[in-house]
Amino acid sequence: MRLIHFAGMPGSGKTQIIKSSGVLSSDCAVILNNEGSSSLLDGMCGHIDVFPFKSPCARVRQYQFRIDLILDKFEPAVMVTEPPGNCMEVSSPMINSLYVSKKGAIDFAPLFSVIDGATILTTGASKRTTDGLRVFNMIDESDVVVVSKSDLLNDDERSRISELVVSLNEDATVVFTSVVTGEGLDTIKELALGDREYYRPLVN
Amino acid sequence: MTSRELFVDTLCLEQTRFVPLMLRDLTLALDVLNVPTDKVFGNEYDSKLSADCVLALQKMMGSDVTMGCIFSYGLEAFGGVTKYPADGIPYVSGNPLADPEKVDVLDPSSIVADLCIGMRRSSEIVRERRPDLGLCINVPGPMTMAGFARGVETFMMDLLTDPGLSEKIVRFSTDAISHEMKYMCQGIADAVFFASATDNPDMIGDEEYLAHSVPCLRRLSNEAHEEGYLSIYHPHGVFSTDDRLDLLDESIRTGIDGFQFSEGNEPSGITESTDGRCAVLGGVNAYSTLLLGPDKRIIRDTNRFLNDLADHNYIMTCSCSVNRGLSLNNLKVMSDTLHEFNEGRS
Repeated sequence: MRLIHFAGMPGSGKTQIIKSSGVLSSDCAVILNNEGSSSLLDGMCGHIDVFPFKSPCARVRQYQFRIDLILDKFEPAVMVTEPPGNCMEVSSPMINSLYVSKKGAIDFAPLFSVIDGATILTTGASKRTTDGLRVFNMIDESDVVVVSKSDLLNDDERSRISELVVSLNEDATVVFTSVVTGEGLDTIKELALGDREYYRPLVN
Repeated sequence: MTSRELFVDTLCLEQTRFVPLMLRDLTLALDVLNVPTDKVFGNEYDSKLSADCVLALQKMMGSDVTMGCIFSYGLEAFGGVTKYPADGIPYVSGNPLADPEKVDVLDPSSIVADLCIGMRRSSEIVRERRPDLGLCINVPGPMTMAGFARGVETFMMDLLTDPGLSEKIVRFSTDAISHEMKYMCQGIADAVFFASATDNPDMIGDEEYLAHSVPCLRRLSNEAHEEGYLSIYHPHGVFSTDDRLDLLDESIRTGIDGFQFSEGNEPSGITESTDGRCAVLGGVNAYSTLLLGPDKRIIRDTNRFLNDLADHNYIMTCSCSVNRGLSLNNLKVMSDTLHEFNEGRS
């Protein structure tokens, strides 16, 4: 089973990218963080679960528990997950714990973080502001930084975003995506379902 | 100077030559003696076995402080359900306030029941055998206990939709913590540790944090001081940024003696507020560096925290509690690195 995790703050467009990138199939299970989002994916995958709001400590164990449950029950070939609750915290603690216990049984796709391009431009990645620190931490832990809503960005803005991401995380691949124009969605599918592996949180 | 003196002096903002090590061990010690979780949490809590495990881990790591017992939250006393998987970590599977009407019926003092009594006995044994070590008792923080009691997601909804009910639940939870703390700590503890994952402005928002977590923490910290021990507070969420300075400041003004920051914070942003006001705790990320290694990365991160914080009344911990399944070897690399920094003191 291949596990593909899409982190990202509320409103960044995680579920839309999961829906539009072609990673879903009937042999795929999905864990979403929001009951309301599940209708977006109706009929696109074999099973949909919703991860409830958990405390930062409890979510690590609960994530493993839910993955185990779905694995046992549905045996999907692919599982796509979002982080629980308000998505404000980094995702690597959950994936790392699973990695330690299941690395023989699960094939771990690179860690994707979806960030709205406008958010990166307005908040930056400063450790002095709470929103900036969240962006910093998210970029810092990611294998793939998915810059969403790219149809709203000009060339200069794209360059600034790319430079910022690379300055914080030299391992990251930056993919500009838009569900309006379709930009970058094939790349997401290729990275999610291809040979690329979970890496950055293991070495950072 | 004993480990206990070093721990207490650091919390009291005295100048100390060494950095004390405190592993907030809740269940990891079971791995040292290869004891199944449900053997300690059997029909009757096995206090002696718990104490044996705690001291075995202390001996292996050379830590200056223990938490006294293998820990669980004791919600069974209110009709909650906790599961104890043989090779896993206790988890709450039935919330006692799932039915909100129970908040008017249950007695917060009833938390002092079999489990609490057993955990206290374990701490007494640890204290009797090693009076030279610091002893810090773990209890939940206000919103964290409320989350356990009601269910986190439901409690978050209560905060938004039913302020009267959430107020009652927080009051009940704080009363229960007060009873648990006083029973568990009386006459043996140097400090109480408020484990506060849900006292988290990222989850509940700044306003609710100031309205609920801060006043309840003030009450509990005052009670701890009246009872003769110190207090350490460990909320989750971001506190090191400029726009959260007021939250950190209000937290410190409750009278806490130590503040442990969680992963995701910038240490320098924390010490700007804690310096001269309370001790600072925190350290290597338990969910990345300590979980995965390798040794080089653990040594690098441990030294980074020591170099940044050793001059700030620092007690070295890792970022969160340590539980079974964590590599003992990795934790030993961290403690050995600290002992080397402390010129070989262990």
